[in-house]
Amino acid sequence: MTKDQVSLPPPATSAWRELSRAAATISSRPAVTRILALWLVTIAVALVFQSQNAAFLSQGNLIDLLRATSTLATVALGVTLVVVAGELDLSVGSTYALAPTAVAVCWMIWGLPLYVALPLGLVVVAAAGAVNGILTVYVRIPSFVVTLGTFTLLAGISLLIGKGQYFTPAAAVPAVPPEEFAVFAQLGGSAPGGIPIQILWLGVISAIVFVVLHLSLFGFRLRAIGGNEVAGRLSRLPVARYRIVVFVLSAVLAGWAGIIDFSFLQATQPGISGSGLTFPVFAAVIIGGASLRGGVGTVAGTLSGALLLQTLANGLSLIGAGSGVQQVSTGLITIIAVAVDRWSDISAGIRGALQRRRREAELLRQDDPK
Amino acid sequence: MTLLGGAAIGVLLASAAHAEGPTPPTAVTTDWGTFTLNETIRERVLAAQPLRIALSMEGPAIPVFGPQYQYGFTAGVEVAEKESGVTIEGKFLGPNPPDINEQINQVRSQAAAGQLDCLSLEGGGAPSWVPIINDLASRGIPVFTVGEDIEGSHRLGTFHTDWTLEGQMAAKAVVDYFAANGLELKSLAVASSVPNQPFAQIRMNAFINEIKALAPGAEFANSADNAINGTFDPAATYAAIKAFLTGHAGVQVLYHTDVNAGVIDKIILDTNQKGTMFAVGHNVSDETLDAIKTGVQIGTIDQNFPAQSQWAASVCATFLTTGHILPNTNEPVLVTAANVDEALETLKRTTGR
Amino acid sequence: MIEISSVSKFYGNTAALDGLTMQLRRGIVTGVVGPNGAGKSTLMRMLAGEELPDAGSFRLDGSPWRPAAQPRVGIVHQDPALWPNLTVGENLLVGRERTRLARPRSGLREQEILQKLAIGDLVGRRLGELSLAIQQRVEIARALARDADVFLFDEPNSALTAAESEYLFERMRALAADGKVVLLVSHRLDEVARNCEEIFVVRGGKSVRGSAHGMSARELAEILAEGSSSTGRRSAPEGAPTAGEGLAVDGWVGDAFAITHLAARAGEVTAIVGVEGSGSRQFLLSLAGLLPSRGTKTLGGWQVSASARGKTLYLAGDRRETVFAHLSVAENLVMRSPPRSLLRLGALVSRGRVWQRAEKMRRQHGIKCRSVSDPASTLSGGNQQKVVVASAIAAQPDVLLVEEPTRGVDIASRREIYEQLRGFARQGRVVVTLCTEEAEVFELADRAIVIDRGAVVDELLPYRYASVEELAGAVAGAIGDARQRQRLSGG
Repeated sequence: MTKDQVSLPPPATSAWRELSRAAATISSRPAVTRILALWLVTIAVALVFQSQNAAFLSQGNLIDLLRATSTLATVALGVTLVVVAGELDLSVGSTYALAPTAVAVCWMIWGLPLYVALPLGLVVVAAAGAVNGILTVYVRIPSFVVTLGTFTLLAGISLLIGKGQYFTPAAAVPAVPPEEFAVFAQLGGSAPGGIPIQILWLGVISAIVFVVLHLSLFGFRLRAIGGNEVAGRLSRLPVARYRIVVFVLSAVLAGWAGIIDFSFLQATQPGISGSGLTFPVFAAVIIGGASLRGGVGTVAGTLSGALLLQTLANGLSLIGAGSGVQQVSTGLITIIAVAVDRWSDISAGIRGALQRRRREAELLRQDDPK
Repeated sequence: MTLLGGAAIGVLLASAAHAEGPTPPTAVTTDWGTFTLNETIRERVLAAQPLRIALSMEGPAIPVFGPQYQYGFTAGVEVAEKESGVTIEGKFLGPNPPDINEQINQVRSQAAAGQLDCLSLEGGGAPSWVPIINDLASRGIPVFTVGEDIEGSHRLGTFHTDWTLEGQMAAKAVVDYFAANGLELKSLAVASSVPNQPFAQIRMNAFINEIKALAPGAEFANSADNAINGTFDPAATYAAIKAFLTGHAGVQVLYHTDVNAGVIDKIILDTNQKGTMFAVGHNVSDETLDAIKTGVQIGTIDQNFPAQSQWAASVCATFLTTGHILPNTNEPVLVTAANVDEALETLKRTTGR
Repeated sequence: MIEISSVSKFYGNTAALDGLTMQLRRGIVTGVVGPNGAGKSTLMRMLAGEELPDAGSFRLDGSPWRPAAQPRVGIVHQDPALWPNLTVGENLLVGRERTRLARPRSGLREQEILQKLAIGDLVGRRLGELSLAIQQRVEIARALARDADVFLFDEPNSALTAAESEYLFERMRALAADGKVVLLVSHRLDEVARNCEEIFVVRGGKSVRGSAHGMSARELAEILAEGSSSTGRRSAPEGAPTAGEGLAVDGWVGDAFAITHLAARAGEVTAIVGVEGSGSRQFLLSLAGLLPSRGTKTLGGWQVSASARGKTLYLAGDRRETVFAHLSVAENLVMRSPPRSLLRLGALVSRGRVWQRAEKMRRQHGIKCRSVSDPASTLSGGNQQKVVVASAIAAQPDVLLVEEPTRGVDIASRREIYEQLRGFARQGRVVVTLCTEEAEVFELADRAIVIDRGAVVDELLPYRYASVEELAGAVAGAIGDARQRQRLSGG
């Protein structure tokens, strides 16, 4: 007997049921409803902070906020691609540190021109991403384990090639050519009007990732591979190739974010930068609606998740809350977001129990000797 | 200064040993009990065999920290050999990237292979070291701590700066600077990469208390309890401090308990606050010294890493040859515009440039 | 049509298919029935191109055919192999995108196919939100979009309602009428009898009877059971146990079943008889407390909580879930017993005691292995099963629930396992087994309770039947009658 054959009385509405239905809608509908909900929460959080300190919604702070979000969001977009493919990349923190270190070594120590050093830095991290992909696909180690290992490995490599130095191009000896320095500084500098170029980079990268994930054949097949790998393989999709490619993409995006931050801060600290990125990046991806089971994830969602997290961090710093409060809030928001995501499963379990209760009562009332 | 001081004592004692021949101790009474030197090691000293002295630090590849420790240790080994007349096999140990378990394994395997006559340990104050040190001590291998002490362990001596003193020095430097430049000190704030760590808390509290004592009219926008937490990531530090400053206008001095004061310098320049806002922090680096020169940063407290690692070598040599334990003479050095050039020279020299 | 000639497939020493010969004609629905492990799934996989035969050949419309070479075969599974995170339309496009860079879009052709299957308006909905019946239709649509010629339906309707099943069979007949080859593999004999114009019975890797056209479910059941080993009429169990002891459930409801009353007596082996999808497996799991259910459960006269595991032990049908393959035979044998007598000082496992206990059990249950220290994976399937049953018995549960106790077990071991279970029951325990094959019921059970569509249909005493065929016929008849009643009353 399936549930279709037993008719149930229509459920009575109540506040709890409405809330539950809202949460279930959020978790079962495609990204749109979810993103709207995220924006609502972000605005609510912003208003709370504004009430505590009127400087929050000032132009200067909003620009700072968006600038800081662009680092987190760039890395998170790369990780979104990996998660949609059904994998995990925990090494992004180290990739973020390795790229600028490689650029600094090529440019400042080996004296290569900037237009060679920059692509070289990206090639280095692309190779790291390829290693992640090859180990996952051909050696069949779960990506969780592989990237946990490369996280430490790449951090060590950064320290090794950095040879125990902080890199500050402004004070480099021998000095770097001034024209190159100007270009370098401009990468993460300001555009006319005071808009940080980092925000413009984020716009470009978001557009590219959007096209790749939502409008291209690659993105379509990626979602199929992530949603059901076995079925994908049976349909002769190039599963191995796609999975390696997403690891490379994730590494390149994380490396690019690191290079831009290097330009902005005019300094890089090998082995230290990026170590705290892993959790916020994953929190942003999950809050944004990507599923760790694979096959689901959107650009808009990840961007919204990153914005929410950065709003929280910025506001808490602004009002002077201690580190304890910050960590508790970030953790709480992530758990709540995931719970809303799983709400449909949780409520299905509750509904099942209620249904069984009703059918038991019915059965006993039927009085059937058999 | 400190380098010379420590060396002086070492010279006196060591030359004494040299004159008579080494006199390694048998047993030493300490505040935690009695330490008995391992017989084999004792015989090695008497037989003038090479002394295997190891310095284990958190991370040889950590910028500035690692190279300066390496430099100091190498110099220290040379000096100690000359003074005490023994040959020293110096071992500089440390994991890359920094990982306390890896560091512990390195020390353990040296000891297990019987390759260790004396150990100086820079362990970041982690309590995990206590059983290791106690085990080595019970086997008669002398252990000393540098950089930060390991509470409750059976180490024979320690060499590190006084955090309270450091906080006070920084406070005094700020007050002096403001007086010298005719500025009125009204508003300050504190920040750290790891605000909950003991060293950060003690430094911040010392700073705050000294400022309040020297400049009663000054106010703090936050306290050691809710210090700005940047984590070690420079980008995160930038974002956190900038946001805080947006929310707390008028802060003139930002005290940072460790290396990321350089980030504050950048914020000052980005917000065109040079001359109205100042940073003060710890440790040296090219950009820190540069910022001091240009008046963005008031000063920095250098705990003198090379002196710490030099002591690491000397204390072992002196103890094994005379039984004397060198005292903790690790004085922090305040670097301001007055002595920044000298500091830059030292930095270059001690990081191999 | 597809001609399958003397196809064989070996896995190690076992023959999954042994000279199978069959013809699948276009224009009709062909049914294939047979017990578990008879080779049906192997045949399906071969037709789908996932396996190659070791011997024999295929011909399609007269010419030699290697199924692996062409993707013209569409399979509709019990568990659809689709993409729940994509929309219905997108599901049709995976694997046949035909674009270079841009995202593929549903075209007219896809829309037409979906319309034909009456799911055209669902093209934009996420597959994961839709019911199983709809998902199966999408699987059919995918195959149609691929211009598939051959449609294999593998136990397709075990989780569908009666109405949805009917619709599915209509679709099958329509496909056949379109000239495709349609194959239905199912355990549900009455459905096969009603919908298939030609039926093959597959047993032991061979096709035993062809063209069983026009037979009733009852006759089919008897053919299926024909020739299975049996010892002739069995005798009634000695010392009929007292009613009131044993396990009983009332008003017992779960997601897949609703049972008014069922009792398994102590001292007897009670067999639950039901095919895949009848709810019998879920019922057994709920008795074990492993699936949520509501209702009243009594044990030995005392009421116990519905979810209580208490002194109940459950053995799954898949040996991968009951055998600890990486451990030794001895460790497997003692695994389920209370550890106290095996421990020294209350916490340390004594290898000596483990070995002794295991040796005793080996002799007692006749387990064939070189030594109890050998890894369990080196034993034959039958001996592994004996180990599992022995270890369950050693745990001395009040209620022992066993799913398909002799699945994939050779004849000699079967007898011994039946003895193990009966012997245990006679100690005054409750033993409930889930059986999908009547031969097993005939040999083992003192009482058989037939479950279909989540409800109890009939209760039989196997020892009253002269042969397995008779028993099989009775079971099929009971199911058929119950369904007839349901249909007439508009269920």
